[in-house]
Amino acid sequence: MNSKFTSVADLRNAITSKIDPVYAAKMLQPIPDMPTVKDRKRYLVEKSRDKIVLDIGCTGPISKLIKQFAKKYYGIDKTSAENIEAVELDHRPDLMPKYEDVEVIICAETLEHLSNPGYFLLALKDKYPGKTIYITVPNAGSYQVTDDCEVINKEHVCWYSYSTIKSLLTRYDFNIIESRWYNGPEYKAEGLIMVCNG
Amino acid sequence: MKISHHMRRENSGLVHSTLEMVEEEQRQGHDVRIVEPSNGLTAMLETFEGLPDIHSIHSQLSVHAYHDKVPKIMHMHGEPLSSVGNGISMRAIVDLAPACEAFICMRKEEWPVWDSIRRTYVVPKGIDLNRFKILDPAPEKLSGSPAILYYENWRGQRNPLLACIAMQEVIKVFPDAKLHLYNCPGGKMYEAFQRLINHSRWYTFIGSLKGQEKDVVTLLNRADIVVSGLFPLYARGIESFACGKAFIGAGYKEDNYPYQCDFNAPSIAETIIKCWRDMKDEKDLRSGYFRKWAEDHHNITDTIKQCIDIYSRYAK
Repeated sequence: MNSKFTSVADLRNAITSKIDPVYAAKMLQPIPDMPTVKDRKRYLVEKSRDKIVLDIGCTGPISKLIKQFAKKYYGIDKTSAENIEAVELDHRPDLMPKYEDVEVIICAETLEHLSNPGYFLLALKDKYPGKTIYITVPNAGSYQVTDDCEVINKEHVCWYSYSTIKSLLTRYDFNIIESRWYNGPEYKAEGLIMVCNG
Repeated sequence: MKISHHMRRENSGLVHSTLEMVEEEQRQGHDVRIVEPSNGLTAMLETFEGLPDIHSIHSQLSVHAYHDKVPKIMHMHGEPLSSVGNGISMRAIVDLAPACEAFICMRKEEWPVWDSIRRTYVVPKGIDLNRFKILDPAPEKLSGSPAILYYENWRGQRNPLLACIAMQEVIKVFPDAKLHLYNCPGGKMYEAFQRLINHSRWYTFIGSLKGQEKDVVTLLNRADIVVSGLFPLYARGIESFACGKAFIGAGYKEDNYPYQCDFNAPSIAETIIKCWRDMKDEKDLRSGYFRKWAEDHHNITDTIKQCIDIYSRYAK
């Protein structure tokens, strides 16, 4: 007898497992069931309401609303503006100011602009240990091509998926409290929200 | 008895059902062989040499077995109307019918159709009760109360659309109810359901839209109720019984089963609501009830005994 399998169980495994288990262990990262936030703007504003907020990367339209509803507001961006401190977060994150009374940190759509996100996270952890941080990034699953053009902000230098942002945060010892999709269906949502503390 | 099964190597409900039959035949002391019809010379599994006593056909027959004078029985895993509808199956069945001594089908409602083509016996589908069981400790539950699961293969008209529509009524009575859609094949089917979910705001009750789950037993144990989109047949969904879970499918019309429904959304909704009203306060009791239903009505040990009895009438 010269059959390919010695038991039904082996055959069943071969039929269901199309992928080498060694490959699977390295390359297949499970995604947990995560809730979806329908409106990122509203979510972030709600989280900032009546709090002392540090808003990192704060020249977008959401920051105006956060500022409006926060109890007290600190803003950091690469360019200075009214009530916004200019810090070169990419190359000198160690210059990030330390505001003692900050309760909540918003870092919305910033990480994907940075050439050195790890250095930035190190500085954030050093200056604001234990503070609740809301990090949002565009989701790699939302990648689109239209008329031979990639739909992407030209100032972005990377895409994050659930697994890559989780790996980055874990690598710098951030404790992930909660993860969510925002604006769209799971996997293909416009972005991800990672709630964590350093 | 030496039984040679002819089965395509693919990841389908038909194959999993066949493998469970083969395992049970071995448990009952029979020798088995599984042959891929396109390559009839090398067996995928083999516990005997030489000619079998009977050929058991599950999809196609290896050409090497056509004229070996060994009796042949064909198992009708599919349902007659879709066998015609897919443009392939019924033609293949009719082509193979003259080579077969008899057919075996799983549902008495199909018997007149198959028996008009070849003499047909009815043997209810069995479940491997050793493999499909109530897990202890129970795995983490899917979200929702009740957590309703759709997990059968999606194919053309076999999809969870009616279950989704039914949920609109279910959440009026049980606002925390969630429907989890597993085994979605991706591609256009995924896109269609994703658009439906977003457009119709079904995300309030759709707990998941996911692909295949390898560990089906754990998945079934994570649900409260399992629903099917199949009609007028039933298939793998009844495995839920063995895991102690309710099964609701329009194709399931076994006598005295309390949660039968028709193939329309209001009926499916009404049955889910009735089932959960009965279950929610006495889940353990109900769990035992569904497990016993599987033992009494779908025990693969009985299925194989009946098949062997039929084989024996024709085997050399």
